[in-house]
Amino acid sequence: MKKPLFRLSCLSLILFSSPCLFAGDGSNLDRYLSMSLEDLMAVKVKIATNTEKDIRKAPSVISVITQEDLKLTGATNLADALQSVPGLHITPSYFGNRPNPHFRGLAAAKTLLMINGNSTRDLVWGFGIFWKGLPVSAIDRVEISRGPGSALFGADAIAGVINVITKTAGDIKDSEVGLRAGSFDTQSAWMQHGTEVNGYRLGFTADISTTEGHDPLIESDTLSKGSYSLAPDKAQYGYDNLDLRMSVARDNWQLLLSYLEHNNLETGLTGAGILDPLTEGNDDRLNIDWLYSNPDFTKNWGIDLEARFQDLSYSSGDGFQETPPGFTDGTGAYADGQLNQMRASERHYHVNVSGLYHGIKAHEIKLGMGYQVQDLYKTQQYVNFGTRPDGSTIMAGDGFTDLTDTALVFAPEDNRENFYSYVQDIWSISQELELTAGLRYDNYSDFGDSWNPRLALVWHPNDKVTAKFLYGEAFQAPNFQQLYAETSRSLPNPDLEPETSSTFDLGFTYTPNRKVLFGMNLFYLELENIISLVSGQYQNGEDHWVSGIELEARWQVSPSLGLSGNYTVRDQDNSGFEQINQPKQDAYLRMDWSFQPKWNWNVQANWVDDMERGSGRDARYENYLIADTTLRYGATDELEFAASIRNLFDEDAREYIGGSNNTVPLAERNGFIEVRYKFK
Amino acid sequence: METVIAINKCQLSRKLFRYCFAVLLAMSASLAFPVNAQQEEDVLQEEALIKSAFVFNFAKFTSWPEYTWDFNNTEFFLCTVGKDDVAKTLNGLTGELLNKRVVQVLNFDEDAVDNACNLVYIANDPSVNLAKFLKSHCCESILTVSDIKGFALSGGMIEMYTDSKGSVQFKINRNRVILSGLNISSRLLSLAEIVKEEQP
Repeated sequence: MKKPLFRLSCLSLILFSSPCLFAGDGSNLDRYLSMSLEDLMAVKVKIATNTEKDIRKAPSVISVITQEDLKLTGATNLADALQSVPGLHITPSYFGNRPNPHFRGLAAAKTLLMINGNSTRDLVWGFGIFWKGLPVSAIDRVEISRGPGSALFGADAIAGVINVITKTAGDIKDSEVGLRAGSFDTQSAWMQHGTEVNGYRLGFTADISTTEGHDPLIESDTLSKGSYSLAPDKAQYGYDNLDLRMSVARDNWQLLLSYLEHNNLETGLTGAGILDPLTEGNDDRLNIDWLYSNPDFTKNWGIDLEARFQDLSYSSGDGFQETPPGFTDGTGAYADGQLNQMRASERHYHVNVSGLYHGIKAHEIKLGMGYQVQDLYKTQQYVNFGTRPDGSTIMAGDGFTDLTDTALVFAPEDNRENFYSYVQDIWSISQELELTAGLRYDNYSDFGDSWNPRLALVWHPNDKVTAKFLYGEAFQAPNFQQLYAETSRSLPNPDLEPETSSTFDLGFTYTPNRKVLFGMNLFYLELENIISLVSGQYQNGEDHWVSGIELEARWQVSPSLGLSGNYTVRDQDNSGFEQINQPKQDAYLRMDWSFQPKWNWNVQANWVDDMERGSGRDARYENYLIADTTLRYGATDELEFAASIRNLFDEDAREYIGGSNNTVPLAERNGFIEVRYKFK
Repeated sequence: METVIAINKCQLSRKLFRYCFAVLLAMSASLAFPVNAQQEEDVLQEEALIKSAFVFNFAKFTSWPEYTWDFNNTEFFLCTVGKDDVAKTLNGLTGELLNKRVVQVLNFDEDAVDNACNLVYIANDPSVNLAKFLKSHCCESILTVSDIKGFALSGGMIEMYTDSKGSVQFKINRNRVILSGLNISSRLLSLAEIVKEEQP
């Protein structure tokens, strides 16, 4: 596997370094003429340097998903849309069917996922224990940056950064309502409304949905070797979703309020891979952001101020049911199974101030600093099995023991403070050449310091060619469980240091004419200080590397026919940290055909291959191909219909249950119909 | 020969892969530096290019009454009135194809334009008398475009503006478009902010 990859990577480097390809002349106007209206309207991108940039010249490897992309491809959730990004694989987890985004073959914990610049990361679990993506009706666009982002965004931005920008006041031009109904008893309704009152721009979006989930048949689970397993049976994955957003804007400031709630969220299987038909969890997340941005604060200074607040609460309800009713161990038989009830709440406060100085010719210097407090202010846990705080054993039938406020609770009530400052300079050495250099310092109250530099050289000799060299370092903060909480499987380690990474990227974009685009990106990433369990305790350990090539192409065959696609191949060190559930290669193809003026037909296919899964795994499920098709019809200016079939060929696609040879099927063939009405 | 050696070395180990990476990077960099240095990009010019691309798209998604093409079905006349960066940049569209017609760009200084014009861009130029222009060309099958603030509300058809995030957006005065016999596609309308004049 290694040889062809390295051969290809070096060959590509040599080919693309040859000067002949850079020959040619073209006007900048051609570049913009080659873009669609939607792309033109989104031409400014903020994620790469936190200052606005033309996407191809941005000093990182960027993809943007627009509202139009979401509509045409029939995406109903953020997770559907992310499948189209090169090098990004969505793995639905067996616990809760959570759509976890994995960049570059690494763990999802190495992805920084933000909504309007707010990290979705909680202090214990990841993107939130009941992460379910976001409904597309709330999304304006998604900016994805492959590669490290800690020099700008701080923790967790090791493998990639996703920033979801929701529809806010000023962007919402039409009032719209929509309804969707589909397989698995899925129904959604949404609305958006934008208006202006006394000079205040107001925006509202609301989305409410319910689904029974695709409830796959689990042939065998982790308990199947014993006699207590519920398998074969279905894993329940239903949930209800509510997403409410409001924004107010005037002059240079903006106030964003959002409330996201999941209810009756069935987790299907436990974290240990055991069928759990009982658990119906719930969570809610409230965000309030006040943002001020004045690019002309003084003659040479622009200024940005941010004050953010987040409150996140979650509960496992009557679950988690760690083992089924009747399960018996040395203490006796558990009539209701082993139950583990968890509730937690956390609050995040964050202030950030940054200035953009352009008083030195050919330089844009950004200086910023911020402070945040992340407070896990409530953790409660009740169990009917295991050990009591006094060390005695809970016998089967004893009822619940309260572990709250003891050393045994799943995570302590504690907080973490983070102070940071950063500097970045974008230096336009010439019209063709731009150098971006940045450095961020983070200080955490629990584990200490981290310094993360970045360097980006972007060469844009003419309209046809862009070449980029990028280097960045990044870190991932240890979570509260790793630092503080003793669980049945692990001991904490308060002396843990963050995991760190160094990444090299070399990227090329070639647009021979306005209808065609080729992109190629090579990366090499090295992880250090990886946190893992050693003899039952979390320790900083060894290193691990991953390298790969990401290729993409777009071809506007005619005004009504567009094709695009990408292919990624990656290779990893066969160290103990290899992500064996991640594909070694994957590809994505998309076609949009507007065969009649008011019609659009989209077909997309997502292929993953070589998910090796380790020794002894069932080789039948190492790859899959899922194709979707969507037909959209704008009957009038106001009324629009769509119909979509997902997994068109009914592929038996599966992911593995962690630590076992058992599989969880992904959704079989399914579909939906949709209607939207715009108030003109 | 150099290439072959480089490839073989790459197969050996990841250290050598990184070595290759560094060498090739240096090659790229050495190619990059001798480029003639022209100093920093003119931001206004970039904005003018983007707006010109918008103007082209407006024409692409608009249809004119069939009689418009009775006398000349091979050329599309894109006219500018007054002077600004966009008007200047629009000249770069000369020779482009719009629905199989070749774009010809005509520049006018005054507020009177040739009747052959299919689309007129009115520059943000104090010497242009906008009110007089719009009055004298009311209801002709000419698509009028500008980035003058309040253009769409004062009788123009498509007004470009920059939103708070720095992206170019546009407003359409739909009634004016209908009055002139033009037809703007639903795709363009769906992306626009639709405005209504108080007294069209």
